[in-house]
Amino acid sequence: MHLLVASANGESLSRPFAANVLAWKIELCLKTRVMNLIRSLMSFFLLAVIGLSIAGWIWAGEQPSSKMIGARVALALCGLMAVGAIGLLWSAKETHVVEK
Amino acid sequence: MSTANPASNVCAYQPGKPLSLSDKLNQQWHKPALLTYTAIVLAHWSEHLAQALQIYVLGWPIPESRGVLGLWFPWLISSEALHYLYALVMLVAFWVLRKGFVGRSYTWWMIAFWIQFWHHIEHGLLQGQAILGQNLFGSPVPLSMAQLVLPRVELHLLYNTAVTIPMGIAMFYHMFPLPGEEPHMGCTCSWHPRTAKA
Repeated sequence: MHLLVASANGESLSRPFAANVLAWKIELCLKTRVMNLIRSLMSFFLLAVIGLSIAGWIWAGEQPSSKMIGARVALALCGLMAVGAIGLLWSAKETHVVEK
Repeated sequence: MSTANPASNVCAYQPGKPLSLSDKLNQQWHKPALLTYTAIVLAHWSEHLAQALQIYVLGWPIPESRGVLGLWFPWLISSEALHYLYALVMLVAFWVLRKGFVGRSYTWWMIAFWIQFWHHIEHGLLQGQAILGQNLFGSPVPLSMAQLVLPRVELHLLYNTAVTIPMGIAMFYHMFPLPGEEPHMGCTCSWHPRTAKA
């Protein structure tokens, strides 16, 4: 986590240190929640893609072998990319900067 | 063009000089432009997801699986011109809105751009065959290059996934930039509590 402790504006410089720390903690908590909300929504979409890739994989098993291989390759790539994207989204750390 | 990111993509504001449309779209209008673009992309995706659901889950025959709007307006699915137009609009939007991105979000945005560039070439091929009335390799239907090895429905799912994922990652990083990236951003897309309250 990157942290630069400073003040939001000139007035808050006079605030007691504890109040600044509390304000920073509240802002960080709020930011984390918003970040988690956004990546949850994105993950929901990606899970739908993964679900359909799995459904398609099963469906392709009933198709002629020439079509089955192509369909499964494409669907596997879709599913793997979606899994990678979920991993990438949830590995992002929240950062918080308070301007000097 | 490289995907390497310049220190700052956004043109510096010069007093007295009016902002161009491109500057506005990458500065004060970047957020509404990205939201509009996202809504269009999601609407398009919902049609693809509905079509996949109809085929894979409901077991409908492929020609009858036309998404939601395609059930009432079948030409939406069969029109190569419409597909090409959508691919072109996406490509233009990627290019026009790129300057608002910085750092790692710019890199992901440009990855999405280049994948969409190839996707657009593929749709151009399909559109060309539809215009000429002559399909590649004597095929009964227009063929794109990747369609030689992958079926059309799955290929379009793949292309759309391959474009949307880096686009989504770019927007996520753009909304929550690293501390070193934020000073270079000329738009209001970055989220932090103070702007949320304002």
